[in-house]
Amino acid sequence: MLALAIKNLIHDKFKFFIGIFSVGISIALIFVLVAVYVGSVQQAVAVPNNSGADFWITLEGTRDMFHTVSILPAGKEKALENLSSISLASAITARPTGITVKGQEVTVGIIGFNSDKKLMEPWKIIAGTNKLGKNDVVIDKVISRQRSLSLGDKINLGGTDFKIVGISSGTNAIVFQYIFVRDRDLAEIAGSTTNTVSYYLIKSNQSQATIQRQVSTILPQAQVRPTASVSADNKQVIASSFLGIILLIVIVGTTVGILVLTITVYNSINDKKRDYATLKAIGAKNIELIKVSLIQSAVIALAGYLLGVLIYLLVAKIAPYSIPAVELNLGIRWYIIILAGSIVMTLIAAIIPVQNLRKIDPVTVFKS
Amino acid sequence: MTNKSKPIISLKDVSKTYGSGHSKVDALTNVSFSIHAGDLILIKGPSGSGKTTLLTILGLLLSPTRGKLLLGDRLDTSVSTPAAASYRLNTIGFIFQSFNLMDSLNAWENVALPNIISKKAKKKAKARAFELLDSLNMKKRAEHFPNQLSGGEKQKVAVARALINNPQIILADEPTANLDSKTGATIVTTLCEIACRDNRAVVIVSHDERIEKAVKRIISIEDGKLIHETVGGHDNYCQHNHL
Ligand SMILES: Nc1ncnc2c1ncn2[C@@H]1O[C@H](COP(=O)(O)OP(=O)(O)O)[C@@H](O)[C@H]1O
Ligand SMILES: [Mg+2]
Repeated sequence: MLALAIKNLIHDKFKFFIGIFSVGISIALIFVLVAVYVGSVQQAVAVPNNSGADFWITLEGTRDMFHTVSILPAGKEKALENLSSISLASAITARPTGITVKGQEVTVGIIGFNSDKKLMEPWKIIAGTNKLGKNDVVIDKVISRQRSLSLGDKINLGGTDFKIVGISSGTNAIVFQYIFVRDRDLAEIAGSTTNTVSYYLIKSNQSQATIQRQVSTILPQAQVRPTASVSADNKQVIASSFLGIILLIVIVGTTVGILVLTITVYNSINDKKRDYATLKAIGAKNIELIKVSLIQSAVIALAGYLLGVLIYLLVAKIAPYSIPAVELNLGIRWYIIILAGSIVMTLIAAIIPVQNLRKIDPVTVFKS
Repeated sequence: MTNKSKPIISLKDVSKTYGSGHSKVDALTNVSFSIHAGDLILIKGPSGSGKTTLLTILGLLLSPTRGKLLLGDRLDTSVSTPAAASYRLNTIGFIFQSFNLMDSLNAWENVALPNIISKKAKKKAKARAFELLDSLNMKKRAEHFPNQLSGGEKQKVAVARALINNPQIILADEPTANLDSKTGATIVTTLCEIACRDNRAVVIVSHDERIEKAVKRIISIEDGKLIHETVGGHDNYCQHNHL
């Protein structure tokens, strides 16, 4: 029966391959979109998660690092470290800004950090160093790739030239990429000497409430948040802007996949209606024939899945060169989830062909 | 013809009406007769007289509108149940006018199909299929696909398929209609042998008059009514063909 199901399915090779190809494209689409989403979320949380801080002190009402600005008075590190609940405090300036690269304006996320305190320094250097001297800069690898910048090249920041001493990985926040400079150098740039910073990152083993109580005496307008909470808000930004559209396209992809599967199996059965009528006449039970449509649906879905994985891996391979800002990332978990989805697709796609099979009247085989 | 053994199938006052109202067709009216092991019956009649309708009722593919159909001890005449399918699979062998072989399976795979459906081991099914094809001088064609076979060869494959589950009864609808007369005669001889040698019941529906001389009983129907039954030339035929 299995043999007959498959032989009847590949009887029309053109329809068979078109079916696999279409399902493969749908599944590849789903893979790519899920990978973009997972990759984006991962990038959005990478900076806070690798900051090395236990808590962030931010302006009250600040949520994520993308579109809520935090401004706090500068120069409070000493006072904070004097609090019993805080062992280390480091002022961080982080904001989107324009820089000039080879005469062109480029928007980046600039991070000014205190290199003595090791909080929020670039954590994954793929070329050069993260030890910065005066007017040195570490740039994200996406900018380096997009703008053909390498170690030793200069970029201009508010009228001052900075020398690239390191290339950083994992610091692409999708909407912009991060560059890192010393807080002192950032403060000296014309127009930046505002006596403000964005956050204070702190090390502490005390509870959030305790720290909050003590911090309020120094920075009454500030709130203390665990790093995980900042990460969650960063993730939320990506989720709220992309998840809806990605879900929609995944649904479209799944629907197209199911339709193609249905049509392919339906056609295969319709083309062989007389075979199935004969099988019924000579004593095959309906349940036996239902297996036929399930097998056919599963064969195409599985072949489509494998093709989809292949296309995805190909896209993932060329994406860093053609669309470097987009991060594709999928754990093995997602391969299993999408495979499970394909199996569900298989079952749904078999519903209509099964009805069609049940309706076939064996008496028709006596007509010539 | 009298037969003391218990009938395999009995029809009692079976009628079949298709459709209703203006499009109502009385295809069969009060048909009664019995089929026993070893029977070789020709059902003849003009086109549209109800022969195929009768055969599909016998084959448990169509429910009669009225009347009783007794299959051995069974009185259940519903046709779309798994039990009906099992009955068809194990008790009946079908032979069709247009062969109805699966194009994507080769000759022996087609023959083995009823064995496979009844979950027999593939190896055994294959051996049995070859055996049957051999007995029909078709062993050389076992690996050929239907589109590589002549009409007569296809019908032999279909005969082998009908026999593989050792059915008690073979139902053949116009088995020679799509064959030339010489090939048709071979098929008739084969059906004859099946009835005599294996003691199976064979029912042939046909308006091919040459079959009359080979069968034991001839049942004539007209306008859905059984008009008379006569004795065929079976005994002579067997002598003549050394069966
Ligand atoms: N499914 C059907 N619906 C309506 N009428 C039918 C159907 N099948 C057969 N008939 C009619 O029933 C009569 C007997 O048909 P059939 O049994 O096929 O005759 P035969 O096999 O002797 O040619 C014919 O008049 C035919 O038109
Ligand atoms: Mg007919």
